Amino acid sequence: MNRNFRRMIRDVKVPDPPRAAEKLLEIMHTDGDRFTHLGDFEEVYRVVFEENGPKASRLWYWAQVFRSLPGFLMNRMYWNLSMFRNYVVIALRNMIKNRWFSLIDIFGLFSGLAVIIACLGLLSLASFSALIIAFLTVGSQTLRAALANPVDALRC
Amino acid sequence: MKLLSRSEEMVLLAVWKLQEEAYCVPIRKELMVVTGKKWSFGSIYDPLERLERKGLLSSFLTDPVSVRGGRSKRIYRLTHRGKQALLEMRQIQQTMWATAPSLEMEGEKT
Repeated sequence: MNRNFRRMIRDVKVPDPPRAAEKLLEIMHTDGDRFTHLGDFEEVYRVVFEENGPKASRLWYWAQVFRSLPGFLMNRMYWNLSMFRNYVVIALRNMIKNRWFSLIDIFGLFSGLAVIIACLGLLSLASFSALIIAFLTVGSQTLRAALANPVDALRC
Repeated sequence: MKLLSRSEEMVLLAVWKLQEEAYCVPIRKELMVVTGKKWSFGSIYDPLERLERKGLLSSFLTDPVSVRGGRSKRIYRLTHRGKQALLEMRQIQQTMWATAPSLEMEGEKT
């Protein structure tokens, strides 16, 4: 319904519920206002206002936001996951339909990946070997340092 | 017919008790008073939705109300099948109690 109309018809004695919280609740209850949630919240908000004052009522309204959060997130996750599943199904169907092209694509992708991984592995192996060679060339000095400090050498 | 859950039974009975004022807020209040426990909004919406899907309740939207910030209420009513379900529920309770031995808690330590 029109927001301005709502403002017009609202009772002026009790201040409106927090604007941001209302907006959040509106976002979270995405059932086309089938249950008229927001109206229910606002009605009880007014009752709490009369009984416990403005601070308590505002707190109560915000509490509703946080209590709606888990359900909202679970719902979103469920639907997002089911959409993801649909995407996977569509991809698989297309792959089966264009069998040879997808084979070539996958082969290309994997060979590319394999080359990159192999190069990285060789590179790291080479650099490690270079390190060891550099260490071994000063082997006599290392031994001498260890003998000079026997206790520390054992600790290592 | 299928058996209802306890919360569904209570909500159904509350709808019948409140008659024209049977929407979420008074139902929740009623159940909180009767059971002495906290009921969240969700624990009312859910049984209401299920009962409506089972065809025991019907609902309609009223005109906008100022205390609800210019939003309408969704008022629930018992359908014929809903009334049948309520009667059946009471009948089952009564017949079972009638044949069970009397249950007195007085003088007994809890």
